[in-house]
Amino acid sequence: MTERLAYDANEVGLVLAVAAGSEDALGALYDRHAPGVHAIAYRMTGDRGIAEEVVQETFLALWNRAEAFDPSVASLGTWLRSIARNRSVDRLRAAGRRVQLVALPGGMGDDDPGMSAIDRLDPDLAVYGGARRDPDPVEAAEAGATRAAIADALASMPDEERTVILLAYQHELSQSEIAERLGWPLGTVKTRTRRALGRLRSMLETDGMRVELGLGGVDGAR
Amino acid sequence: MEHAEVLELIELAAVEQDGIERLAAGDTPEAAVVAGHLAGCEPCAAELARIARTSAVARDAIRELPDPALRARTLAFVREVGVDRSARAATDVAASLTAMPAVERAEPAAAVDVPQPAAAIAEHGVPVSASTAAPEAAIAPAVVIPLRARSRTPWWAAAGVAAVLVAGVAGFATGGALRPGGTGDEPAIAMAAAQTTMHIAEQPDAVHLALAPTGGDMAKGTVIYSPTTTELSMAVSGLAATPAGSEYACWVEQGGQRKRIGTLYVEGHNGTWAGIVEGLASLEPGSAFGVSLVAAGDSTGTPVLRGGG
Repeated sequence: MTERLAYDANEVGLVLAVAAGSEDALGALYDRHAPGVHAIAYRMTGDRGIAEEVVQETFLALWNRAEAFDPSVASLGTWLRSIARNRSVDRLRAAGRRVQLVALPGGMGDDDPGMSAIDRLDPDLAVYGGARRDPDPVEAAEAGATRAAIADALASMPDEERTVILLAYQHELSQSEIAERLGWPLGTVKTRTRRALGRLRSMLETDGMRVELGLGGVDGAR
Repeated sequence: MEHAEVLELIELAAVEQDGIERLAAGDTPEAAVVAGHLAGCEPCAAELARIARTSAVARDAIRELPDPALRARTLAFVREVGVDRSARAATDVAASLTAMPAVERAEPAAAVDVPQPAAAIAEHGVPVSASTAAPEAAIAPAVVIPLRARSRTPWWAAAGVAAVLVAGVAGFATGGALRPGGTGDEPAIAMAAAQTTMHIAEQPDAVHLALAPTGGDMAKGTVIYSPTTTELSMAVSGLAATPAGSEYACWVEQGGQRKRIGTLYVEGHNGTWAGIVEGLASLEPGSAFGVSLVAAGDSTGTPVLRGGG
């Protein structure tokens, strides 16, 4: 709780700095919230290109409308994710794709059943009349923790290993395709892929992540 | 096929899209060998299950992570099409700070708040006149060091200089770091406040307090301070618009005396203040913090937020 207080206070300060024109503050908030914003956009659109555009537009909205942020109504993360949802819907509609709304959470303001989640975003991007938490805060927090832990693990990897694992997971390339793209011998790609996976495993299979993985302390072959 | 060979094939398959499924299907000669091995090797089968779960979690999480290069592209995008806040650009401010002597920005000691008996304030909800105030409490004089000086001067060094300047002044001097008024320093001020908050939060003795509204307002806030570093930061949201000629003043109350420590920097309904406040190291139990709406340049006003105590 006390950490939460400090975190919120810090966020308010950073938003104020953005409102005052600090790109450093915008960068700091990007570092904190871009993974969550990108995750929402990617889940909704299933398209990395669109998700990246949504991220850019979301932080543009933060820059342009920082004064509209009201932490007494919503946390900054919730506010930004709400904007990302809205932008994702816009993109999907523009592309003629079926829009599947991702429900905003219940809470104050939910007494109006005719009001969709997106409807609760006014043209100025201020969230109104709606509660500001994800449907399952615990689940959302765990997902966020996993993303953060994996991001840390990726950041600490040697560049070669990070490259192959990103090409495999993000771009869905096979080892042969990675070898061809990078001009590396296939054996080298395989070795680096296994090392990268091993680092991710050792991080993910720590005690703190066992519950999420359903590992429960089961010993494997090794 | 040996266990190690099977493990290698499992790991490589796990990283590829639908690789495990193809391996388990046994529809290639190599996959058929692996499938046969797994059918008779419980440890390897268990390892396959573990790797498959781990890889699935990693795949989902990594897919959702933004490209590292997106950060620079996003900031460039904002710079190109975002609203022009260049008049307040932090770089310009930083340049201006370099030209400003650190000690110039400490406000005159005359701005010290009027002492306020805590009991009377609690009873009436508004400040009482100076004539009814309790005698000055025996707390160490506090000095607020403008955060603008922090960019180039260690806080402890600046504190020493400022302490000399206000020596002999009882109570807390008004901070000059976080002030409204469009001086052009806003980016540096707000950023410094955020950085100070982060720095305080890292201190093992950091004290956190919530500020609650004294009336029916929607305002709320937080205070974090470190007795060791004597840094203090306040962040407030839900503030009513500042009436013309007024400002929000931050204060510390100890032993029945309320001392103004600075002026909130306000944007919209949010405000922040941070600075170095001597005397924090010796704060007594029951000390309180808060924010009051005061006439600009005045030292008394109506408390809108209060915490601790």
